[in-house]
Amino acid sequence: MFVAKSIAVDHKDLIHDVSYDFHGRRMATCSSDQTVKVWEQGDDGTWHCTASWKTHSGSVWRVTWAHPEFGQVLATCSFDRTAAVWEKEAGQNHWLKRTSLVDSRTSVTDVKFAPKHMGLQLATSSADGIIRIYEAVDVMNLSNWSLQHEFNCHMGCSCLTWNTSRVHPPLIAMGSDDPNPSGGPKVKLYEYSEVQRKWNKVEALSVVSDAVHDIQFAPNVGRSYHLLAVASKELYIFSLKPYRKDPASNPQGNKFEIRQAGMFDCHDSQVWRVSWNVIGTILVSSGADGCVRMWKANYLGNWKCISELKGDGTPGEGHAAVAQNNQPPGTLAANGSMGANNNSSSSNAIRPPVPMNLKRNTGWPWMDIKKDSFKLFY
Amino acid sequence: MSRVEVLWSPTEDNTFITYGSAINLYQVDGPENSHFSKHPESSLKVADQKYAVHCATNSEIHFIKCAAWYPKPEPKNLLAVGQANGRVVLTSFGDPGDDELIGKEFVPRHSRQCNYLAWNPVESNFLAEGLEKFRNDSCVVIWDVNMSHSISETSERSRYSSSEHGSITRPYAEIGAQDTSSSFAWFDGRNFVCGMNNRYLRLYDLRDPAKPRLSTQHRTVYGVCVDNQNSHRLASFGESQVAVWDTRSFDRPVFTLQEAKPVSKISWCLTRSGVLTVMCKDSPILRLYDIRHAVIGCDDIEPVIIDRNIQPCGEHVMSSFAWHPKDENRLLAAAGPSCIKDIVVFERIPVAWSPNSSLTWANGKRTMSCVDSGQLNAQDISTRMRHRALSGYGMQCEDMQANAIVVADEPNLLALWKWISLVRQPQFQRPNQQGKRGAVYNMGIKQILKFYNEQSNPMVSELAYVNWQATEGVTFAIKHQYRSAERSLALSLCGWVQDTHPDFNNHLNALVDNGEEEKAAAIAIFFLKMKKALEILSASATTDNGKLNLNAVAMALAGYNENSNHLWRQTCASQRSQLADPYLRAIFGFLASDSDYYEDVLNEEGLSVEDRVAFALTYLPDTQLRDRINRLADDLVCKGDLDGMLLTGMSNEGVDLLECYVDRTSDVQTAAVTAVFSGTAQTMSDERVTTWINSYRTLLDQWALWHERCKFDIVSQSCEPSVPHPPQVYINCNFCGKSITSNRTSFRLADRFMQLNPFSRSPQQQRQKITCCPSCRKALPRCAVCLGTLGTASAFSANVEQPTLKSGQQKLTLLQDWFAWCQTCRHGGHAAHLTDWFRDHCDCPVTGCMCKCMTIDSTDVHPASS
Repeated sequence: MFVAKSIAVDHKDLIHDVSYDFHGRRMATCSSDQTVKVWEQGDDGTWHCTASWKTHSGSVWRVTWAHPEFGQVLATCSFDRTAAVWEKEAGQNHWLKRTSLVDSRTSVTDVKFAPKHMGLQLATSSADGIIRIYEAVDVMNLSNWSLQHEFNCHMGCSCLTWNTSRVHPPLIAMGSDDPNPSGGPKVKLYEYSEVQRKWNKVEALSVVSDAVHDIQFAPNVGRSYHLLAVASKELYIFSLKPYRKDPASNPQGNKFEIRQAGMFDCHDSQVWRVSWNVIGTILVSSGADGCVRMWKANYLGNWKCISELKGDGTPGEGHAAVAQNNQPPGTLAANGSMGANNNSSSSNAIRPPVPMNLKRNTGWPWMDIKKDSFKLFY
Repeated sequence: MSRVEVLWSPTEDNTFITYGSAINLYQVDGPENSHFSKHPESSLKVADQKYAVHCATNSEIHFIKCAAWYPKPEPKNLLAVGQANGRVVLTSFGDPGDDELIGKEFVPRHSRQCNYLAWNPVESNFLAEGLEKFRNDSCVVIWDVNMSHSISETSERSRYSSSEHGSITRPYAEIGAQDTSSSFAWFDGRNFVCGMNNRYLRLYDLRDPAKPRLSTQHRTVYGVCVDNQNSHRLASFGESQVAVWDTRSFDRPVFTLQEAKPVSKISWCLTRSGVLTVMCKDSPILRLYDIRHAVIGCDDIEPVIIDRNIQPCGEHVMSSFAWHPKDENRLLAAAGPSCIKDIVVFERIPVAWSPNSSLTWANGKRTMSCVDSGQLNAQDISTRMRHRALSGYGMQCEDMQANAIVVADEPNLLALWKWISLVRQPQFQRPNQQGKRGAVYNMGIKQILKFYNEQSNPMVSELAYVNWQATEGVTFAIKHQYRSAERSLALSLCGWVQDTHPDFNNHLNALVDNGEEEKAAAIAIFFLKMKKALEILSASATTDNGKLNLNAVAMALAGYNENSNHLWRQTCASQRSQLADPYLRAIFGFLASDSDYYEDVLNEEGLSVEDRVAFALTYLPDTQLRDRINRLADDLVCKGDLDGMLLTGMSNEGVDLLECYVDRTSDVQTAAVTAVFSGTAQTMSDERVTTWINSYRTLLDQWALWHERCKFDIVSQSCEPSVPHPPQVYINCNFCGKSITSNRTSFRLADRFMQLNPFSRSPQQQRQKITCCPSCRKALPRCAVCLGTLGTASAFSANVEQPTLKSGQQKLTLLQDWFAWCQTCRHGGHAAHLTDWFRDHCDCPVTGCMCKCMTIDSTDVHPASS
């Protein structure tokens, strides 16, 4: 069913992250051996290492690609308390360190570029619970990053993720690997308020009380709700539907109608990583049992395991046979099924985000002709 | 239960021993291996797909205290076994062979318990033995196994009374008089560390064993072990405390770990740096500490120690474990002679989806890439969307049905495309209020029937009394139908042809030809053409063997008459549900219904939405019709059923419907394409619609389907022609500064002299070559390669082989004649010449220009997918 090919990566130590670029033709890996390797896919589909260099003086936790519109840019974060931005030297397979972000006083656990429509922004999370948002002052000169925002989550951050929706205000979800189960919710959502010019906590998912190892928003391709996958002791899938502005429909003043779309206790003890496919229809999770599982929602929005692979590439014991669906009945906010939605004019009422940065020519050369034609060409 | 220790072979991947009362040799194999089928009874299941096959037993040696495996591959399976009386025996399995090492014995001066044995990993002739205290004797004895015992025999026999014949009694080195030694570890060929006298950890150099190189006093003197990934790092335990040491600062431990129970064994993972494994007494749990990130020498920050518990043997109390020397994170765990597990301790597996639906994950130091074989993902909408886009879905704006052909295997989309193409017929065009835009293709049934703005001008239908057209001589009661111009229009949008229309019979025949006899008959019946229906049914029954029951249906239909008794209707009603075909059920439902009560037909879910709506359009009075259609539309909008687009059209409600569809299926492609094909100015400004269109464009970009993205942009532009796309670049004359193409006057002027505009549609033959600015008549710049003035055809274009194009495909202009220039040094020329030049050069072709045009600004462009 699956053909798993092994790539001789030749890292000297444990690989912590694998990341694809926007087009999926390049790949970056980072490892405890303090190096990052960049891989390129040949025409025959094989991967070749095109660059390998020492990036940090500690384990490199995460590596992530910027949108190619900003050039070939990577960001890494490390145990050495820094995050770094790397840019490929034109015409050569040589990566230059453009900047080192040294604000954190503890290990930088995650680094993520903001969605493209927000310009070149970067969020980092650190083990002491501080999330920092940096922005490239000039996209042509990546050595100059200014710390735009800084907020404290009051617990050690292990991971963060940006919501990719263009029409909603910027939203970040963070997870904490604080091992104390009584230390409060381990997933918090922060939203940027254009009026106040700051990030505000809008939700905390109290269901998740165990340490969170990974978190990811599904790419929002135009659905009216956001999907959030959380890797903790269990695998959680949340659906967050932004409320309309209209206060009558939302007496508590919550930002989102949160529904737990799935909770699965599948990977023995811990779920380590989650990743969504390009449109957020298939979720893949990996866990302490060394298995990689794929999850997909059926017509009714119930998530099921559709396939299982062993980490060493051999197929799991039974594809699709492991679909133990312990769908919990408890939803956070009572709602019908995902598809049944008859007040779908809701997103009409949501104010589009005010342009944050004029230099971003999103969707060039054509995005919304009426609005942007004068901005783009001059 | 007797205590069982396990040891991996240092040289062979799948071999291990267990020792306790006897030494057993095992070989790990998969179930398919012949070993397993030969000896199923002597095999232990050590993992899901692995069995340990028992190969040999060595039970000659009694009172085994410890064992150590010779680190070199030859002689095979050589073990040093320490006994309770301090005697060390080199042994192996089976036939001893002629190797002189096997069978050698080493005996300390006085008999006392042997605590450990350790082979020197580099100079493998050295074997260290640790002993209990006995008077003045040394507690650490290092034997040289290559020492011939004849020497020792002759010279030492008299001295050591306890020595037996053939055993070696003179050690290579002796350390630690009057002490006891509890643990020992080699760093390399020379240095070693040992725990002594329950108080001291001492580092020695083999070249100078007289006094320790380093020494420290600590309670943790047991199980000292060296991290083979980092030779500065040591760990040891005592009672319930585990200490980690750095030899560079040996006076105190780097940090200590406190366990709840007394520790019985610790070990570093041999393949991973900084992973310490701790086993406690009477515990089923192995604790793994990742201490790599413990900050050393930094007091203000607590050490970052990641710990993890594993239970390899379930609830059984662990008795021993061993890390595999080569295989990454492979661990052999024993909880008894029959409970041995060969497990892999999985690290965090990072996973990532590529946009192209292949999956990559890393397993330890390796990376696996899984290219899906399509079986699973072909059903996923992401791969389907990609496939559709490659087949031109949503990019064919001339022939709408061509789009539907691409998705012919997805029936839920067919009704949508039928609507999109039907609504383009001229009768559905509404006079446009704005007057600017051209055609609007957004009409749904509800718009046609004016349900959205009913106050202003409601639809009024007239009642028509229609007779059955049946066999001669039989008269039926009159049926009530409703007619209006709007209803007729709506009917044609449903794909029905009214009976008054000359094409009615052709329409039915077309349905029959399509194999939809039941539908044709049903439509005939609904228009009260009993005779026609009977003809259709009997004709198809004779021609098509597969539908034999149609004859019976025709017979039953023929029996219908208006005054039909109660029995006929009752039979109809009861037997109706047995019919497989929804249209046949609808026929009988219609016939059996009381006058003007048609719920049986209207609620027949098997009928397509368009047929149900068309039926309602024919038979329901205005108010009922509105209720019925609104209810149906609401239902379909809630479900996100694309059939409902027929009803709602591309209205706000239609956008709601598409939103539900996207929520349910994530098929943003269809939503975007629909919005583009049938959008109005109002819906196109809807935020959701723009999101879909932009998401879809991003997706195409992400898949590197740029040509498809461009085609989609062209389609969207053609559907929204009001705003022309401004040019991206203007070219100004060097001298007068006027654009040579931008404004209309110069355009016209230019047309007279030259053909510069590559987008010009005039055929190439008619083009005049002009080489000067249209306004000031100064010459245009020259091509840096051929030195011809730009605007002339590049000289050797004829040399470049052109694929012969069919007539009509002849390109209007050739790319090679176009202007091209370096964005940095602004030198340029004919595109063909420049590509030719830069094939071999990276410098600018202009003399003296240092610009590395080729390397500058290269943005790693991917080729487009195809």
